[in-house]
Amino acid sequence: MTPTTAPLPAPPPAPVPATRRGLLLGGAGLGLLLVGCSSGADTSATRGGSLSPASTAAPGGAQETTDDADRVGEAREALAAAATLVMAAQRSVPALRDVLAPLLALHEAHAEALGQPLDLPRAARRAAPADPLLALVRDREEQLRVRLADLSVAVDSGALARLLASMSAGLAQRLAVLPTTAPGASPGAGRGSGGRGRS
Amino acid sequence: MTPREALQDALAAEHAAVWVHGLLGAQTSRPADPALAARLDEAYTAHRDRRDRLTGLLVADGAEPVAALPAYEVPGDLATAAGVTGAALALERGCAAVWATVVESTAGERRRLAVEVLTETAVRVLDFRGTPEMFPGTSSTRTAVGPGQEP
Repeated sequence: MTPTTAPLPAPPPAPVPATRRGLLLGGAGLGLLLVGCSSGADTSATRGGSLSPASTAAPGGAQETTDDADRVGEAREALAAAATLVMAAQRSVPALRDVLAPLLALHEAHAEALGQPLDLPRAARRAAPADPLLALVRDREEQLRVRLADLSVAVDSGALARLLASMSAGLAQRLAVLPTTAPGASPGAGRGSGGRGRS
Repeated sequence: MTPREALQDALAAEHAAVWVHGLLGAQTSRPADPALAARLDEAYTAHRDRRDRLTGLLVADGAEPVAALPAYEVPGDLATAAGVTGAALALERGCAAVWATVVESTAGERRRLAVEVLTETAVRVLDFRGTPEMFPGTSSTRTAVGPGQEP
């Protein structure tokens, strides 16, 4: 997996002034340009990656609470547990190494954003059937996704909530393109659980 | 940004999304590209439902929901499937950013709604040839690229 740089997320479409010309252009759909209308939101809290819990602010400007620090700890623990399983699956089934590499990279990036890189124990290599192991990984990852979403709702800090929600959404994207069967395990194995495996 | 302002921004984005997806659907040949047409239909319906739900929330709060505008500007060459797909992708990414701001600006059940919508929108990005990102809806530009995927 190679992290790359992609364009900044585009803001939603800009409203065209309510003129007759705007209406005509919109109806024709020719040569139109999405120039964006800013939400006016300051997204600087999550800009640039790492978000220190101590630097986050709640809606209305309040600083993060001790409870938030505890919840960040919970998120880190959940991330580490999921990443440990992913790493163990990679070591146990070589065919899953490439399949799961993006998932592990995602966990590493998320852990860094929470202020502490993953430090995983070297997993033991055990022979295991690929498909059940992949199903177990998928199940645990879904649990992690839900946990991150719940933590996002629970924290006081708005910026921290945004980060956790974004992590949950990123995991949902990754799960959507994760194969349901190991490579070569069965003919015609489709990618993704929701038919969103276009890549 | 107050919760109400964030919700109004989200409503404005959903108005635009409904309009734009309607336009993109009209520009898409169903016989020639039924899969793209179906994805656009699905997106249109999702944004329409979200718009209606947001409108109800704001009315319940005693606010006057922001109105849709007559037309919106759309990028690219909409005469091609690639242009339509690119416009839909930009739209969904923009909506994800708006909903991430709603997450940041709200609390409780409103925030839960925003988290759910952010996730749905992030996954819909994949329908329009988007690739998984590390932090959907944020200004972080890191994109996760898996085997066989193009950035």
